[in-house]
Amino acid sequence: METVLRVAAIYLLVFAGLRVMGKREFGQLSPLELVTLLMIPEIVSQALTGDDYSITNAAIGVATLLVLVFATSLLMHRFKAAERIIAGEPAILVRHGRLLEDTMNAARVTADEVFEEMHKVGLTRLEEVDWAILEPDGRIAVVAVPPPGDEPRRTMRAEDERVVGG
Amino acid sequence: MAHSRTATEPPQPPPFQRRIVISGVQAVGVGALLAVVLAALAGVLGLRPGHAAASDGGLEVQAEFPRILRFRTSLPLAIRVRNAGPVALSRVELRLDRAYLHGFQDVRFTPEPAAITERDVRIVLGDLPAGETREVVASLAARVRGELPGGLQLLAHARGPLELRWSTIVLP
Repeated sequence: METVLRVAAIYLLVFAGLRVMGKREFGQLSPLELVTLLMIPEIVSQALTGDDYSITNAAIGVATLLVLVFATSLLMHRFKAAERIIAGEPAILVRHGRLLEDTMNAARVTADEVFEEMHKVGLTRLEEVDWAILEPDGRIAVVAVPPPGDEPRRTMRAEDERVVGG
Repeated sequence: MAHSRTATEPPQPPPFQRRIVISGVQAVGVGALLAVVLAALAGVLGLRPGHAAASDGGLEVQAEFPRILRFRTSLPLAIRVRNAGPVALSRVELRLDRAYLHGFQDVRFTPEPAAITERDVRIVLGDLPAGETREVVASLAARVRGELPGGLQLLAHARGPLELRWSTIVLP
């Protein structure tokens, strides 16, 4: 019983800690973040196993962790509110060619990083960006402004798919 | 929905009914994992002490022993011998199975054994006045896995031996 409680407590602690750190830490790791994530297992390993190095204790620990992870994913899938709390929400960094500086500063994303992501999709100017979104997994998605005349055709296709699928 | 340069949020995905779908194989796997967790929470896989007692003609012996241990974990073995009869007993001696004790590491008894033979570990308790109790304790840390049957014999002058048996299960 003690092992189950230890693993559950450490799972919640590490999870809450990573969640508080923010999305950026999941997308790409800076040296500081890498050191942090490498040190956490070292620090908590003793708390997880105590003085009991038996296979039984390890099996209980692993089973507890997997059940917690599975339960968390079920919760996130079933309830949108839970998904929002656990995984976080996307943050808009660029709206119609304009940097949203407050959001960027809150998420610790610089303009240079946004431009790096723009370059990856072949864009060089901010006006070419319709949306840049910091996704919950830490990656930045860049959506280009659609070329003139392209929009109606894409909208039609999306509606057709919905009708066929539904 | 046409593209709009005034929208404050990007287009949202269409409505989707969220439901839980678990395949048969997944249900079996998660069920097995959950069973391990529930067994652990219920204490089935944990360390558990056991109790055994025997008495004969005023001589009583009680043992608190490890019923379930995990490999290399320890629990105490505590044996209480009481003279519940009206007369004093002399030359009381406790003999513990050596084969049982062989399943544990660094076993140290208090009081110290007087002799260790091929069959048993002998602890002399001496004379035991009426109503008095003697206690023998040791810490048992498992060094082999499986079921370990054990027990003791209690001897006193001019009496037949009093036996007590138990077993310890050592989980891997």
